[in-house]
Amino acid sequence: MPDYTDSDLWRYLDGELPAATAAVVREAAQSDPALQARLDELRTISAAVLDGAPKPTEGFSNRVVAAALLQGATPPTADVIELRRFVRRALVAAAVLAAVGLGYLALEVMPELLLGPDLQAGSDPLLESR
Amino acid sequence: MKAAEARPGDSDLVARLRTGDPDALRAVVERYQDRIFALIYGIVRDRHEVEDVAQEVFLKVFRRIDAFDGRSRFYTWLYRVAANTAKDHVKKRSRRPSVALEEEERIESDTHGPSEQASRTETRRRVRAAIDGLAPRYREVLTLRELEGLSYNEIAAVLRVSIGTVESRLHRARQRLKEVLSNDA
Repeated sequence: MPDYTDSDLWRYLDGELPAATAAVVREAAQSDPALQARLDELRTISAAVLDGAPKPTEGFSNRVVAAALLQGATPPTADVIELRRFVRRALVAAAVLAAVGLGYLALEVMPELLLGPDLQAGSDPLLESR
Repeated sequence: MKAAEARPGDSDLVARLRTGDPDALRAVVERYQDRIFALIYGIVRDRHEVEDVAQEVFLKVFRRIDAFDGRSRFYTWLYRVAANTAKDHVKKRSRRPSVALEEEERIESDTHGPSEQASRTETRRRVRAAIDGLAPRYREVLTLRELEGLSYNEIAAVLRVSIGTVESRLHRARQRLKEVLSNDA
């Protein structure tokens, strides 16, 4: 019988094992009380996670709707949604163009700022130092 | 998955939300409120704060429905909004939910016999304390897994992380809880 790790058993309980492998674990648990006890322990942990979660109080949905109306939290119309998407895309495109333009400016127009006067003149300080 | 089967009308509701229909908001709240409360509680771990955070989640959904592009299921997006809102809430909060835990124990004491209740309460207290001690990123994975039994793949989609990250966080969190239970025995 395989020696299952906790990770194997969690994947079994989570339904994440292939069907054939899960069937092997299921059969093994039926004939192995120790393995069954381990599975029961892990199930206890699972059950404890959501234990104590509160339920919505009566009228919660009405209060949410009222708050939405009070705050004027109405969603934008389809036209506004399209306009926002257009503006977002335009801003991204403008940012990309600006970055490309600045890169061109730095390399072609003002190379001394990046490379220094020696490199700009075609010399190589690394070679000169040898 | 049962989550998907129970939502034949999500696309209709989303379309109505986009028009600002408050009845659509009410329908979304009533359809998802139990699950959103459970998810928020799993991360926030304070019963008193859950309703306020849940209201914030549904208002965000109403205001920002244009951010839902329809490429994922609506509940995936909704759970993402809820998980992020809950985590933001935890970041803003500095105090620990000790008062809430005490109150939960008092509530439970009304529903069980004295000896059984004492043992059960002590086990729950230890497990809850261990869950409270986990970082929110571990609590959210645990909660999403137990919430409707979301698959690793679905949890990864909600949280926008890899399946390997989901498995790793789940394993570490559960091992921590297992240690607590083992010490309890």
